[in-house]
Amino acid sequence: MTDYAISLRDVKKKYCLYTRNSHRVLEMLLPFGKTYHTPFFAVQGINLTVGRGETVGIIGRNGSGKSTMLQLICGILQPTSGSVSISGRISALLELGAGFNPEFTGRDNVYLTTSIMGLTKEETDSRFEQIADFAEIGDFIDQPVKMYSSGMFVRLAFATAISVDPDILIVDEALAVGDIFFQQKCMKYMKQMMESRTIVLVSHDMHAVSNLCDRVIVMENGRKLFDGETAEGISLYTRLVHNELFSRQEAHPAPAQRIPEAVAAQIKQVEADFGEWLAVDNEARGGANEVIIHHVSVTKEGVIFKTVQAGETVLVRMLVWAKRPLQETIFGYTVKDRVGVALFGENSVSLLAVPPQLPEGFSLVRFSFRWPEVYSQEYTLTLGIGEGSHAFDHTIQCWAHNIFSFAAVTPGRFIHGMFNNAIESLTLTRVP
Amino acid sequence: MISDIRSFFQQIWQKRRLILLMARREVVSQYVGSGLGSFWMIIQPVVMITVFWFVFSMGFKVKPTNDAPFVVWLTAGLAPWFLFSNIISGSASVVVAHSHLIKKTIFTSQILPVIKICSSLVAHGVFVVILFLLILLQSVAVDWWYLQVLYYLFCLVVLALGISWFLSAIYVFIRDIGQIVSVVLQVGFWLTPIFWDIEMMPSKVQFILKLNPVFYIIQGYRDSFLAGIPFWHRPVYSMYFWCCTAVLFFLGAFVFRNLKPQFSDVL
Repeated sequence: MTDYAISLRDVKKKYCLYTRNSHRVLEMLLPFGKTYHTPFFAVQGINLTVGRGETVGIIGRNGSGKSTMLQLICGILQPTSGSVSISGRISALLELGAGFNPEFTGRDNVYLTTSIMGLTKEETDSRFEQIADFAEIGDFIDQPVKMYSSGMFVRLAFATAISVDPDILIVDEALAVGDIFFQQKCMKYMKQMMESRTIVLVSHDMHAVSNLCDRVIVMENGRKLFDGETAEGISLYTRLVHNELFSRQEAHPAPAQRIPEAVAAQIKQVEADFGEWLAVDNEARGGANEVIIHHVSVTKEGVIFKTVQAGETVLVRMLVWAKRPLQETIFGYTVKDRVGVALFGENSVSLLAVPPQLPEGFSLVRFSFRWPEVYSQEYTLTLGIGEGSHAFDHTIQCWAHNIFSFAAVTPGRFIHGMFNNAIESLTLTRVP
Repeated sequence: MISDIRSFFQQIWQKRRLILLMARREVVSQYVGSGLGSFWMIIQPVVMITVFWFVFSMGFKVKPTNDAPFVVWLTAGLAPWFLFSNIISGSASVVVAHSHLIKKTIFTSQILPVIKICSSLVAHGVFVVILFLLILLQSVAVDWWYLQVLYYLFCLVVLALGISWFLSAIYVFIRDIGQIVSVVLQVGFWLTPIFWDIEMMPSKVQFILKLNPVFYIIQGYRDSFLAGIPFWHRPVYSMYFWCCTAVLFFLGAFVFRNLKPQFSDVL
């Protein structure tokens, strides 16, 4: 036994783009002949080791090579160079119900699928009850699959796929099946399964990724951009997605990190505690960047804080630099938890009837909010500036991601879920 | 290289249950939903043979060949040809038809032509049983030589498997293969002495016609059912057939194995 479950060594996958399909055959059968193709690298030089029992999420934008990588791991695709080694029984959940034939009954399809996946008839017999139970399709199991609703179809497909009991499970966007109850059931099952299995999953659902994965890999243009802690990976990915939205526009060079002396002097007159300001580095920024959040200060009762309690007021100040004046500006914030789930936030649209104008150059923005009663853990603050006047429909000019972190504490209080929602009234009446 | 080839064949053996399951499913899927179901498997050949009997024996009054009634002689030649053309025309497209399995699951694709062969054998079995009944009906003496058909069936399977691997792999990349195969099979049907007796031709032409390995099998079926000639009475032709078949078989396996890694790139 090896100490890893999956190991990729400098794996590259080249797609040869041919003008004619027959050129491909000529090239393959006559290895020393002329080359006809234009190369395209879907995955270039990936090194990856996944240990036993690890759950790894692969995230990235469309076309970044995630699915190709999964197919390489499964052995459906062969790498052009490099090596893929797997230790243990591997099962792939790339497309639910890939082997299902609509003319046959659910039962027939279950047996065929498990047998493709390498189970014997006896093994399937012993699992059949479990599969049918999990899929919750009742007597429909003996009906042709074409009679199924699409929900029944995916439920049966999912139940069948997970029944194989593999050492390594490869999942591509297959978790969001069925209604909310079935999804919860799948999620619960995955969590249970994670304890003993190695799982590699591709998903665009950051909630699922942050919930399930111990480790995240961010892919970009066929390369591994990031490999490490889940929350960090997700925030990197979020920035990538935001930047993508604006990549069509010209890049706006940010001004120097230092505040010009004249601006600093003026701010000092208005804000006495200027020394406590944090510079926002380019790494943390996303958006169109015509307006940038230059420096920030997050304080509670006039000082920077490490912990916050329900009911306290948090003051946010931003030093903003604008390349051009904005007619309508929106300011907002989001608070995310340790795994990157946005728990709450707000923007200025609901507060100000008329969105303020933002002049060119430096401006100072102040706003405050009260800390709600949320469960105790680490939180990070993300600030944003948008252009427009609508809460959903506006251009994001600048995000400053996770620029400030702190812990919420709830001494003497129990938090029922993510946050407490006060009970408004309660009466008790005896019924004789 | 050698171990690669060996694992190529080993994988087929490991998947034997799956092959049977999928072959059964393919047979059933042809008749699933139809009222008479698998009964059609019998109706089709019976109708065809009846028509032949009516046209040739009643209409044209074709004389008995090799001391056997023409219809029996014809059916004995048609049975292996139908099996052969069924396998070849079906398996050319078999990889493409199962692209969802190849792209989305971990699948041993070299079993696909084997599955096609297994499922075609069912219809062939029915055909042979009908042929047998026909022979009984014509009161031709029943003989142990009939069992020799199994040897020729084995010949056919090995030959067809090699060709199937070759065609199904190439078809993924060159879709014209489908058209080419159907034309070649059509021409092959008339160029192979099935409907006519090879003895009608001058001996030079006979020699060329015998280069077609399929004729070895057709002649073999007739030898087994009608003439009672064992295959070792045709040593040179048997040798030729097996050399030819071995080359096609390993060529087919080689081409399939080499093109297989690229299937999912193209499908």
